[in-house]
Amino acid sequence: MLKIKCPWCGERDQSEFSYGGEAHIVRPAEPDELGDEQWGDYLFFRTNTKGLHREQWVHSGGCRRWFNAVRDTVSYRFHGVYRHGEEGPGKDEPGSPS
Amino acid sequence: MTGTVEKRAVLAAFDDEEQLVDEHAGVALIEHPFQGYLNLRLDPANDVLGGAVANVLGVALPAVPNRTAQGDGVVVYWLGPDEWLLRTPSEDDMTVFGALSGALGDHWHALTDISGGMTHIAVGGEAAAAVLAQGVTIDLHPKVFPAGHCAQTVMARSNVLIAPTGDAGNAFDVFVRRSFADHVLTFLRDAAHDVGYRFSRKAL
Amino acid sequence: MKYSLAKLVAQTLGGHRGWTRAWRDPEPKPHYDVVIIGGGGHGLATAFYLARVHGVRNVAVLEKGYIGGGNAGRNTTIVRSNYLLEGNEPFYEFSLKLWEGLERELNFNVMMSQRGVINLFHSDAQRDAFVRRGNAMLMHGADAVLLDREQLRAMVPGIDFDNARFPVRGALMQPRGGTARHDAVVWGYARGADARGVDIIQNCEVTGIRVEDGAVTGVDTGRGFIGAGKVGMAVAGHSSRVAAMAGLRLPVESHLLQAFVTEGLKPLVDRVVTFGAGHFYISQSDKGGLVLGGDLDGYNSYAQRGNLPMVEHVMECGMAMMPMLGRLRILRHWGGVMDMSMDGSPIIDKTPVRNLFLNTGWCYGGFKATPASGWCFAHTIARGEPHALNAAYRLDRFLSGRVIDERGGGPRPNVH
Repeated sequence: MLKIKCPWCGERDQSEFSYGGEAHIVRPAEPDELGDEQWGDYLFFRTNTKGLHREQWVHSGGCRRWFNAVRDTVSYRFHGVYRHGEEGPGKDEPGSPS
Repeated sequence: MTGTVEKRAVLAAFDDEEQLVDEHAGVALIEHPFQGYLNLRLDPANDVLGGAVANVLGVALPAVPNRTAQGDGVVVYWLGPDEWLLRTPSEDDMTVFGALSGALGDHWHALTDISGGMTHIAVGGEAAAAVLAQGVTIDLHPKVFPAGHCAQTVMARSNVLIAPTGDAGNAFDVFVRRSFADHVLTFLRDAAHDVGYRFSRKAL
Repeated sequence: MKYSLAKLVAQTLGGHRGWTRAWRDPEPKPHYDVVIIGGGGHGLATAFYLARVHGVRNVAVLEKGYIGGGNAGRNTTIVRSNYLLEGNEPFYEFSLKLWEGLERELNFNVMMSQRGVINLFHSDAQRDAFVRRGNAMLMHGADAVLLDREQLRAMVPGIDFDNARFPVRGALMQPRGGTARHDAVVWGYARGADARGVDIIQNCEVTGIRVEDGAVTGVDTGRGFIGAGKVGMAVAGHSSRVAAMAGLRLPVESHLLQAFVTEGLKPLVDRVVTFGAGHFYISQSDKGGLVLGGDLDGYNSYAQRGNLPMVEHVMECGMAMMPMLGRLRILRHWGGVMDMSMDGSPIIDKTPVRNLFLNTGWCYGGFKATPASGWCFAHTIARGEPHALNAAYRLDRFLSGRVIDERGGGPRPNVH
């Protein structure tokens, strides 16, 4: 059982949360300007990191807010959570947004 | 065409069902029907709005997550960083709604009457925490969950809002959406099977 | 050594002391015509068909652990071809036909059991969807039968037909579907490939892919550099990592899928049954244990172990379908890392790197595809172009919009 620390509600059980995939994928501001390659990359291609992964969660069974987390996809250990717009822990660690 | 339609409580279907009561009945399950519920969303950084709301409610909106505040005839529950639930005694009394609408004016906000969509089950008795704990994963002990706190969580797969109503760990308010209410009550009765329960409704 | 009844009798009389290794344990050569990364079912099948169909025998299969120790040993062994879409059904039906002849072709007992795969439906809308799917299967030469409640009750009496929320109205059945022994498939292909000259090299992890002038030249491994004319990747859950060694990004996320085996029982479920109201499926192994599974854990994972909320969810689905399961004990439980593609369908294709080929995105449907996947991947590697059967499984379909989304879930790999 994962224990996930919601930035607002604190530590709760995994069953209160839903997963939102890789974080920091920014929707292109001008989709009409993009070629197939860039649009396809935005929509379908992922880093699929083994190790520290920056990802989105939503506290769907609680305050219903989205936030980001840094989690190890092998050990499942959470290395920190941060709100959207915040920089997050370990800027220099692997998996940090470029 | 005229005529009256009698209001029916969300959990009325359970009224005639057999109660499981023994001399040590561990929990009382009491539905408090027909209360007013307002959902309020606004920008907490806007001090003007905060002040206006506090004037109407007689208490400031709780800024700390998962806290409640008692105002004049209204209880406020924190739902999110920009979202609160306001509970008033009667769904027919639109006083608070009107006063808030006036105070908030054209500022960015959302005030929604969700009274018909909710009901309230008070769970009380020495086994109250033990019964609830069968369905939730949060810690209900009064040391970490005293009066003045609240928590949205998942109970028996349903989203609920739970708030203790004392510091003895034996009384909780459970708020649930009406379409999940019969499932939640059925779950609570099931969870209380070993300790005994009585289901009733608070008279208007 | 060719296996036969006569051989078995002779060995029995000789105290079983005359059996020889089923495949060699060779040292890697400095160079191969083709190197396959990944010694699971797909990789070994690819090597087998490269040698048997295309005459390419100077082939190595590199496995970081032992063969069949990854997802080939972590699946629930179901074989079927009950797909709807044009890009999928011909491929999976071809695969099922290969399964039907596999034991003869490999001279190996893979315990193929065509016991029938039954998909329950619970509503009129679901029945309509299954009728459509059944018709699509029939049009592609597969078999499909619509069962009403009474026919179904005679086949699988333990189902809760009158569940208040999910009453069972009937089922779509593919009689030729069933199960096979997962290890035996791996061993059979390994033995067949080895006999045709393929080197199966275990404990040999690939640590890098060398690319010069846009073409692959070989792989770095824990046992040194191995040169290769062509390289094929068939590494299931780790596709993104291996592809990244050649500078590629994939439309894939790795997710965790759990599976369970109960204590052994007398024959109870002699078909494969899937629940239409939740993600749950069940069959019974020859040892008597019920084999069951359900949904993904839901978040990116390379952990090969599952978490408890999904254990609870799978058991709830199981008991909703067959309440009697509540009395059983789960004996074993494991997790495998799935390479979930963004449309739920696989990729068997060339890559932008010359002579580097990709086989990935099997989601949780890779086992049944093993023969056709190997056959098509071998064709693609040998000819440098996909076969018509895997022509739709292109890598660039995610750029051109020609996705094959059976479930209609969109680019969310954790819902396929």
